[in-house]
Amino acid sequence: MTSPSAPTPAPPPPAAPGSEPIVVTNLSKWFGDVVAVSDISFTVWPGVTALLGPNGAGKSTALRMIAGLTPPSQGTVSVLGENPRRDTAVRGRIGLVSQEEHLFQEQRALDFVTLAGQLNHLSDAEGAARKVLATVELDPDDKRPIASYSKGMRQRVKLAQALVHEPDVLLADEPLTGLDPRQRLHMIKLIQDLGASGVCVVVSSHVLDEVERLGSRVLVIAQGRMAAQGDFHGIRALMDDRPHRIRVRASDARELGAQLLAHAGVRGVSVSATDELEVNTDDVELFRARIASVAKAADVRLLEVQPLDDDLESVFRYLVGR
Amino acid sequence: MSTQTEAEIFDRGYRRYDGERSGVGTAMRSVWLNSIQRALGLRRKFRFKIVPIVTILLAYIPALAFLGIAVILPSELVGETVDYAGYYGLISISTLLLTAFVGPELLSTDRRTGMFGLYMASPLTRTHYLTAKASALATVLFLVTLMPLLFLLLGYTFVGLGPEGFTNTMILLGRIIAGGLILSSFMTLLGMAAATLTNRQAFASAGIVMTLIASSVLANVMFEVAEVGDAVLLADLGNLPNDAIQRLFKTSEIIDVPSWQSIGALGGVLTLLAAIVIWGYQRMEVTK
Repeated sequence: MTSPSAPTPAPPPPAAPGSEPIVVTNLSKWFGDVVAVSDISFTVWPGVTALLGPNGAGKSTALRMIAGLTPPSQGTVSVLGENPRRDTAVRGRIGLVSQEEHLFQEQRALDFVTLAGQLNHLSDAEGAARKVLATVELDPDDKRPIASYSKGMRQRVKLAQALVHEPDVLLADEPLTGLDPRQRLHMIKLIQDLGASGVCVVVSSHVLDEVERLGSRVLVIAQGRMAAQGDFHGIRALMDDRPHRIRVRASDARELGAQLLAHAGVRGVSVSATDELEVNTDDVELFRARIASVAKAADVRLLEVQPLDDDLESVFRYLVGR
Repeated sequence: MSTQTEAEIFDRGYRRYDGERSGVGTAMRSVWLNSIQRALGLRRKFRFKIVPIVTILLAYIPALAFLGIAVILPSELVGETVDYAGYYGLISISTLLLTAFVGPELLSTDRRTGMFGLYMASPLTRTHYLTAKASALATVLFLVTLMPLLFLLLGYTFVGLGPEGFTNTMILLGRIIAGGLILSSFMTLLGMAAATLTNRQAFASAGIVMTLIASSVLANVMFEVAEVGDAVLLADLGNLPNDAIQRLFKTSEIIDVPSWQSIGALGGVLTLLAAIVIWGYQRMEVTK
C-alpha cells in the first residue's frame, strides 16, 4: 500500500541531548476566563515542524509565547537554552512571521525589511534585505508601497523580514496563506531548505495539505490542548483504536468481502461494485498481513488495495473529533 | 568547438547573512528615525504631510513677523518688543496640535497594526522601544518648541538686536534650549500617556486636548469659587510647563506660588505621566 501524500523531506538527524532549540513544558495561557493554551509540552529539533490545528486552537498564542511576546500564565518556554521573555539576545536569533497584514503598509518592502534587519543589529541591513527579498522572489527596487502588493507578495515580505537576520529559529504563523500554487511551491521549498540547513522551523497551519508537504513532524493542537505529536505516519500508526478505511478492487468483491469479515479482523465491508469494496478495520496490520492469503484461499484476484484515510486530513479529523 | 555565452544561473536558495552586527543603539536609532519619518509624513502620501507641515509652519509665522518688523522699524522701537519668553504662548496651539497628532500616531498605530509585536520580537526591550519613541516625539516637538526660538535669536542677532556679548548670548541660548526641553518633555509624556491608554488614535488625540482643557477649567473654577489659594492653579496642566519656563527666563511667573512649588508640581506631573506609560507598557500583552 502506498500513501497518497506528497513526498516529505527526510527528518533531520537527532540533535545531541540538551541542544533542542525549543523546549515547551506544561505551557498554559489564559485570557480572563478563556483558556487559549492548556498544559502543552513538546520539544522541537532543527528541521521543519508543523504546528497543526483549526482556527482558534491556540497555535498563534503558542507561537507568541515561544517568541517571547506573551508571558505564559503557567509553564516554561526555552529557546536555544534561554527564556525568550527575559533574554533579549536570544530574540535576535528568532525570526517571526506574524499573521498581521497591516505592518507598515505605506513603506516599500526594502525599507520594511531593512528596518527589521536594523532591529536585529545588522550593520549592512539594506544589503541583507536586498538579498533576502530576492530569495523570496521580490524585487528589492520595487518603489510601490507594501499596501499595493497582493496578499501573496505581502506574505513574502513578512517572511523576508523574519529571515533577514538569519535566525536559528523561525516561527511562521500561517505563512502560506494567500500564495498562488507556484509561490506556494517556492515557499515550501524555501522552508524545507531552511530546515535542511539546520534552522529550526515551526510552521503553523490549519491547512492539512500544506502541513503534509512541509514536513513529516507534526504537533497537533486542538482546543488549546496537545492532541498528538510526532511523525505524521507514526501518529497514525499509534491510533490502533481508530477505524481505517481501505478500498479494495478484486475480481469478486462480494466473495472477498465475506472472507475478510471472517478472517482478517475486519469490522465492516461495503460493496460498491462487482469488483470494488470498501473495508473498515481497527487492525490495519492484521488486515495487511492477511488480505493476500485470504484472497488466494477464496480464489479471488486482487487488483488494487488503496488506503482512503492515510492522509493528514483523516488524522486531524479523528484527533479533533475525539 | 563550444560557444561561450554570458549566462549565469543564480543560487536563489536561502543564504545566510555574513556581514557585521551592530548593537542595540543602532536598533533604537532605526526606531527613532522611522518614527520621525512617520510622524512628519515622510515617504508617505501627501495627506499625511498636511497636519505636520501646517502646525510646524504656524510656529514660525510669529518669528517671521517679528523679524520682518525688526527689518522695517528702527531698532529703538523694536528693542522693546523682543520677548523670547512670551513666544512660548504663541506656539501653544502648534505644540498642542502636533502632540495630539503625533503622539498617538507613534504609539497607538504600532499596537493596532501589529508593528509593536514585530518590535518586541526583536532584541529590543520595552524600555528601548519607549525611549526611542519618546526621543522621536520630542525631536518632532523641538521643531515647534525649540527651532522657532533659535531662528528668532539668529534673526535678531543678524539685524543687531541680539543679546549683548558672548556670555549673554550663551545664557539666552541655554534658556531657549532648556525651555524647549521642558515644554517638549511635558508634551511628549502627555502624548505618550494618552496613547498608552487606547489603541484608537482619535480617542488618544481627543484625550490630550480634553485633559488640558478640563484641567484648566477645573483649576480656575476651584480658584475662583472655592478660593483655595493660588497653588490650585498648579493643576492647570497647560500652564504648568509655561510657568516653569517664565521663571527660567526670569519674567513674571504665571502662577503666584514659590518656584519650588511650581517646579515640584511639574516634576510630579512628569513622573506621573512617565509612570502611566511605563506601567501601561509593562503589563501590555502582545496579541497581534
